[in-house]
Amino acid sequence: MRRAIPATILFLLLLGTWQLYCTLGHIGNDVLPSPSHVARAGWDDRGDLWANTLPTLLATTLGFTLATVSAFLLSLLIDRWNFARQAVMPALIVSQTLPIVVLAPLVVIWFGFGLTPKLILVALVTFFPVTVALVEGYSTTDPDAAALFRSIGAGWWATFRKLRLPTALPSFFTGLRIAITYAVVATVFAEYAGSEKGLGIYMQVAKNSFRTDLVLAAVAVTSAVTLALFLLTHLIERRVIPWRTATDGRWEGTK
Amino acid sequence: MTSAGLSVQGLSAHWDDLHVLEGLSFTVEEGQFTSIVGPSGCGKSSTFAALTGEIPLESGNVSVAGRPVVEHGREFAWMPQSGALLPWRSALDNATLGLELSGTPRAQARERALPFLEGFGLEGFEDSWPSELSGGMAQRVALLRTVLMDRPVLLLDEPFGALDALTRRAMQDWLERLWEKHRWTVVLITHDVREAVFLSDRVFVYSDRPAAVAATVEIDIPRPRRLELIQTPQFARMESEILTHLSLPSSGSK
Ligand SMILES: Nc1ncnc2c1ncn2[C@@H]1O[C@H](COP(=O)(O)OP(=O)(O)OP(=O)(O)O)[C@@H](O)[C@H]1O
Ligand SMILES: [Mg+2]
Repeated sequence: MRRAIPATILFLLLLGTWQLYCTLGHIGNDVLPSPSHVARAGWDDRGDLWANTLPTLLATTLGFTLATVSAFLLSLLIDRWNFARQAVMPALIVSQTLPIVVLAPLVVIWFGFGLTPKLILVALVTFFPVTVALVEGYSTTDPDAAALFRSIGAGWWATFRKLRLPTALPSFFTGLRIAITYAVVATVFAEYAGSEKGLGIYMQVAKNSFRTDLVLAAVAVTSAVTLALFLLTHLIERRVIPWRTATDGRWEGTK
Repeated sequence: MTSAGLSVQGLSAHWDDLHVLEGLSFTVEEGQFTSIVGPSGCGKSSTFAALTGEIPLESGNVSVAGRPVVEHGREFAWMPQSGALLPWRSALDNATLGLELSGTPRAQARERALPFLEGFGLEGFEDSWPSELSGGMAQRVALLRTVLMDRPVLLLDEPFGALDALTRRAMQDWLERLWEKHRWTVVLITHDVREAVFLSDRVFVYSDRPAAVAATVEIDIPRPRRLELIQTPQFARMESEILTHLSLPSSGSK
């Protein structure tokens, strides 16, 4: 908790500067609303905001879970067969070069205004970092430990489960954290391009009626959701990798 | 009474293009403690790699207890130079890893380990992470993992190499007492000539790469051996004999 203090101070400073700028500069609220104005507007519209946050959260976590599970399965194949790695990795890298701003409207045209286009976009941006984190994690396996497993006569599956997968966990969680920050934005993108519900379409509607205050309120909610999911991965990591926290995050075996 | 615990005849092997073993032959009696000393990088660890099947053999025969070794590994309990403890397993779970991987259920493996904890100085540290153990303790965990596998021959690659001098002496003394009790068939690699003499019945001195046995020195000092032994003239004579063999082939530096 104490580590959050510097970040909080900086955050409050930035908000304060913004507030002062708006008040002293007599900027119109429809151009750049002050933080206090945004907070008030968001609070007044809280029912609608909340009703649009839930679908975004749902699409994000669902798409993210799907992507993570399939990333794990694919990483298994890649780790088992070098052929799979050579076949899949280029395609994965190309998937990251697709401009999501342009892609989002297309996916909506193809799959409609429901959940599907959101899931696809989230999966598209999160699948890659998680897969790469896993595959690179496996490859950091201690060669001595691998030789030890072979000398004992351990099979592929036992070696994977008891050596390679635990080795990859720290890298996996790093990938997970990177992916989760993309995931919420991807959902919002999909919704912005067209959707029945969600923070993205909420922003779209607010912008079209010149409610910059409500746009910014929705942006704040988006950030809060991302931050919450980010912290959640930290909590899970602590549970899953207790041997790391035992030594203050140092990742050392023995000499 | 003595039978060939481990017999190695005419072993040759390469790591890719690097010729590491050339016509390597030696014999270790059952229940005997032997050591390998030799110049750094000459192929000591590679010998173990050849025995456990890490590098394919081009020629030569290996037999354990008189039977030729076909599927490498099953006869040998190998302790890597690094110890290779798994950071995500507690001390006890690291010790039982070998048993678990050979198919013993975890509960049963733990039961097998418990009687050894005291002798290995690990009581009260069963649940510690490897990162929380001292260097000496971590090596004892790795050694316990090796011993528990219950295979005919123990291959120990510089188990005390990374320890400070004081801890190393204490560990040598401890291992000597432990070995007298259990009489495992051991091949130990070491840089420390004193350690080799103190612990062994027989010491193999390797030549430069590609490695072969350049000299065999029998250590006929009676057991039990204690650390005071190091001061005796007999001990010093053995030590200097090995050192002479070591400095013969190449430069003449020590
Ligand atoms: N896995 C490997 N792949 C390729 N070459 C290797 C491998 N392991 C060792 N070698 C090479 O084989 C040679 C002998 O190495 P080895 O580890 O057997 O020496 P060593 O006698 O154990 O040395 P040290 O005393 O430093 O441990 C070295 O030149 C080393 O670079
Ligand atoms: Mg070595």
